[in-house]
Amino acid sequence: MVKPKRRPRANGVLIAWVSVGVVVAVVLTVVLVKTLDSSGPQRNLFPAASSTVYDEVTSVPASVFNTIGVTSPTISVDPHTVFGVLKGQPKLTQHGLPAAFFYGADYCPFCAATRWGIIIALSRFGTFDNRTLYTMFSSSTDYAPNTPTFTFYNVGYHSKYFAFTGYEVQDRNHQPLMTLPNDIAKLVGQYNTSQTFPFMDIGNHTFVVNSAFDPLDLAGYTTQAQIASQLTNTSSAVTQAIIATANYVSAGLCASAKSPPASVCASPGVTAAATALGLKL
Amino acid sequence: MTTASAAAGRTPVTVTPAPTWVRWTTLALALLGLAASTYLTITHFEPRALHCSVNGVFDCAAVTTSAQSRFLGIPVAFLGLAQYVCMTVLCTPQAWRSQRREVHLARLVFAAVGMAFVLWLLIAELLIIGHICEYCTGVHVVTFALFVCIVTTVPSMLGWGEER
Repeated sequence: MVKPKRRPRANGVLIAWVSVGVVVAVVLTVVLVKTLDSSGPQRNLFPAASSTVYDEVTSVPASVFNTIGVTSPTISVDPHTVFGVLKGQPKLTQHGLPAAFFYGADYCPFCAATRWGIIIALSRFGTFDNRTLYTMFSSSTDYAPNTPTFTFYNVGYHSKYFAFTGYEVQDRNHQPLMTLPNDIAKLVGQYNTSQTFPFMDIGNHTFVVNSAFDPLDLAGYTTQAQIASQLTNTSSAVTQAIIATANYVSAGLCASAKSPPASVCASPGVTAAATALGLKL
Repeated sequence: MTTASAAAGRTPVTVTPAPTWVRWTTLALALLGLAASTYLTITHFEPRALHCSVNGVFDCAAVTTSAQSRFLGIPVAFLGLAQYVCMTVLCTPQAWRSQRREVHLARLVFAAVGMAFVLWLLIAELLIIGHICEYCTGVHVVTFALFVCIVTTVPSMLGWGEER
């Protein structure tokens, strides 16, 4: 009697190559999905600034920061009513890095003025996603109407020194825009009890509340490009106010950042700001 | 092992040797992966040591500081380092010559789990974070090459797919 042959097991080599094929198929699918997705519309609602404006804002020469320092002979830049330092607070971190966040609204003219200095300061430590800034104007019906600025709405920022997130809770027409996560809302409630715009918390150590200079000082400038093109002119009053703000914000970031770059944090402009704020770098 | 199996009245199970090129290629790949994952682990704890290009697509700081850079609270870079420490041990010539099936099964499992993790990280980089980290991609390529070498070798070594 012939014993029936056992059915052979599935061929091991075939299974091996099928599993390799599955991996390759998954990789190709992900790449394809990404390619199709990136050809879609911009995720941000607002117009992107030109690459020229982006470069002018994010590549201010070190000599400009150091020449201007923390004062302007024309525009009052008062750190003590705007910048606060709190010691002994629990460190604000995100994914293991020191963290900072901005709390503001697109309609707010004081936010419009302050964002210039914040963006310039942030650019010294990292980059904005896709090397893009999105243009915004403050409310047309509020104080200092139509102040040219940028928005942090849906803007990603990455630095190896700290994490930063911007929250714009209302749009230019006072309509709700972004919702604060619970932990951020708690910090705003704790450190900005009056819910003032703009507010920036740098590591629960340095705080920016309100604008360091009057947004009316930007009156006469109708586009971001006009202001950006002035950022290398150290005798421009607007540039002085913006860069002084940037030096103060930079000092706050240096005080909280993880191993911050000496090229920024030991620069004369930043050390002058740190001294004025009583920050140890 | 052969003696014990014979004593138990069972047919001894042998492990077919792997081709020489597989042994050395996998060891070289494992060492490459170990070097890259060591660097990524160091930069996770010391971000200043991270040197990478930043443009629209490549931005390793964006990846290594993202929410996806941790898995169950553990830094992914550290998991990669642990994976490659084990994989390097499992890809030494001595391990490849081992007659213990568990050694080869462990190598296969590590390769498969590593590959699955790499696929998740690729999805995270491209579809969630929107940036690619070149060092991570280097580890991913090495993991894929190791996966191909191991998955096309180990089943044959263990006699899978042969008729009884």
